Amino acid sequence: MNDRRAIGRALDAHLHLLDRQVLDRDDVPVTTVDDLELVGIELGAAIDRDAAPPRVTAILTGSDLATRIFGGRPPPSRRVRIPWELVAEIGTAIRLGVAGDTLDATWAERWVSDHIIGRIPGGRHDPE
Amino acid sequence: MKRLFSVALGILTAIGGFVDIGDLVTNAVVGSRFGLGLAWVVLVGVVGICVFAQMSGRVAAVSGRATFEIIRERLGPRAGLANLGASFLINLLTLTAEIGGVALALQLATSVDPLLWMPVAAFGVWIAVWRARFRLLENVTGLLGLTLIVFAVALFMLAPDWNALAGQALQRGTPQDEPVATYWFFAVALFGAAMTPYEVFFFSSGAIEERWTEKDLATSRLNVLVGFPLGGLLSIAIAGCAAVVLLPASIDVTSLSQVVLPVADAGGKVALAFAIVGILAATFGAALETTLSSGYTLAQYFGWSWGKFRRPAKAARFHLSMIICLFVAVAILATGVDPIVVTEFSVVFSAVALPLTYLPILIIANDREYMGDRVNGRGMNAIGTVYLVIILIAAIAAIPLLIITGGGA
Amino acid sequence: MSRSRRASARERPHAAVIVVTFAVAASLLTACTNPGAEFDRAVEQGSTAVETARLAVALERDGRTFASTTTTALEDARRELVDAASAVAETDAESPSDAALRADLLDALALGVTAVNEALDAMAGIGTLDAVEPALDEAEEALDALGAPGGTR
Repeated sequence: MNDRRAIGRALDAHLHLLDRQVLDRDDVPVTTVDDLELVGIELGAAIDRDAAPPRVTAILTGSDLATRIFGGRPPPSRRVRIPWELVAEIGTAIRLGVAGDTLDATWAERWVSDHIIGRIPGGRHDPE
Repeated sequence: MKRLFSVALGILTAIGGFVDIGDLVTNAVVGSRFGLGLAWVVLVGVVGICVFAQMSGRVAAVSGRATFEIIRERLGPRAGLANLGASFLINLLTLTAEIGGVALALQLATSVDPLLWMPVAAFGVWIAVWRARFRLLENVTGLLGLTLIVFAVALFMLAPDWNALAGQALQRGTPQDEPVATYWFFAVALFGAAMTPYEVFFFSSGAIEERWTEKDLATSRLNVLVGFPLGGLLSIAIAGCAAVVLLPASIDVTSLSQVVLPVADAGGKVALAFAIVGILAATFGAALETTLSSGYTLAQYFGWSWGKFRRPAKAARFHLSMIICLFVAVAILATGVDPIVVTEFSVVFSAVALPLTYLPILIIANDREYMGDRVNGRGMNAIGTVYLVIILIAAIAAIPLLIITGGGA
Repeated sequence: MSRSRRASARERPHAAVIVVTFAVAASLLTACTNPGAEFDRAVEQGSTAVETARLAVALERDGRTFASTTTTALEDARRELVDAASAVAETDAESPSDAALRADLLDALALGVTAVNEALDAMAGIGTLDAVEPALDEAEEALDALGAPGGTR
């Protein structure tokens, strides 16, 4: 499988990053890449020829999926971000270097787990 | 020896797991109205599902990714969402039909009203999904479902006129008293019943659940290529029993009780017991598979943690969505709608949804980024494309035929 | 390539929605048919139900089936007969012959319901299955007479 740990590999953000599965350090799914946060670029503003290229600073999830499909943008304060520094590896899925529980992005999973599934008998046990 | 055992287990499970309430009802209805005149559709459907189940299993084993994850990546979130919406709803409809089927089978055994059995059935499905290991579920329901072989046995015991049956199967054109549109409507329905979409989601997600590697592919190929055709023969046997007993008596199948009467006629109470156990196991197993499929499709699209190999607390939204689906299924059935009618709609709409599922698989099976050099060969692509055309024709024709024939009335 | 994929993907959800709503609406509309077709369907439904009941009773008397299965089959047959009778009762006649046919059809279906009820009663311990076969025969004959080419239009 494609397990290249190349440094300086060229990727197409749309093809290789968007809609990819994000896995945590233990290969537990976290979310899909719903959108990417870029800095260094303004919407509608012309790009200066000598300007530095925009950088990807975070993976976005949460309500960004709905806005990506139906239009609009959620306000920056409501964005659910996974900082790009946490990304360890990019293959057919994107692997993070941290455990999923520490992330803001897994709050929904943790909430459902703690308040609903965890409360049903047997929820915390491995399947027999 | 142990290897032989596990291979046999796999094949037997595939046979028993092939039949669900859609196959039971549709084959019985077709048998009671057309004899074996539509048996060819079952054969076409069996080949189709063998091809695509294999392809989706290979995709999962080689790429390590399940179907719906790849659908979103390849088609984009918008098309993926449309695909998810349609597949999920039809899956839910099928789940409702299967739970209804379990309740009807229990009614045959106990004469207790099916409405009372439906919550029990849903709870049973939930408990199995909640606690039991994947492999165990597959094996138990698959092996018990094997008792449906009694339909084949019954067909022999009924000592039918084999020439007449063969004549029905090979005749060109439709029988006198049924309009052409109805013939093709049931062809589409039978096709949808044989090539159920949930089978593919389940197969590919199951490959990930059981952590298939390329070595396991050979075993799965054997299971599929031997098991599914034998399952198809079982379906034809169900139609055959209806053709021999119900067709001459002008009984059109509209309820599950009529499906088992030929078996009772052939082999008495013992045969009937096997048939009821088999129907119970087959529909319960299918209910498990459709429940898991509904969880898989949602979780894989949205990127949630999923899988039966994880404890529920570690795949919380996956399990929550399955619980909600079961509630919705019971709620639909609680309105008093006839589960047989739900079944008939579910197979027709399954036929409509087939392109949504199979086209992405064909595309991905050719994608080198996921498959490396294990992409489809020319032969596989040729068959896959032929089937895609057949699937598209069936999908396009399904709704108009449904309207024209008034649901095959 | 991704751009054209996105463009066609945008059209797909809309088309799907239209097709599905149309399908649902149309399948509801197919319920409206003329009286002749309605009566034919009722005769077929009634015949099937009566024949099913006959088969179930025959198997029960031979001891080849479980009581629970026979009861279920009979209840299903009764439901079919009642549904057929309701459909016929709510069909408007377009001519005097329609009205007469509708009345005869309701009578025939009622015979069927009575016969199946006798069978269900016998299964529950009231009376025996002996008298059921002739009653089913009578209902079947009545339905056949109405279903014959001269019977409905």
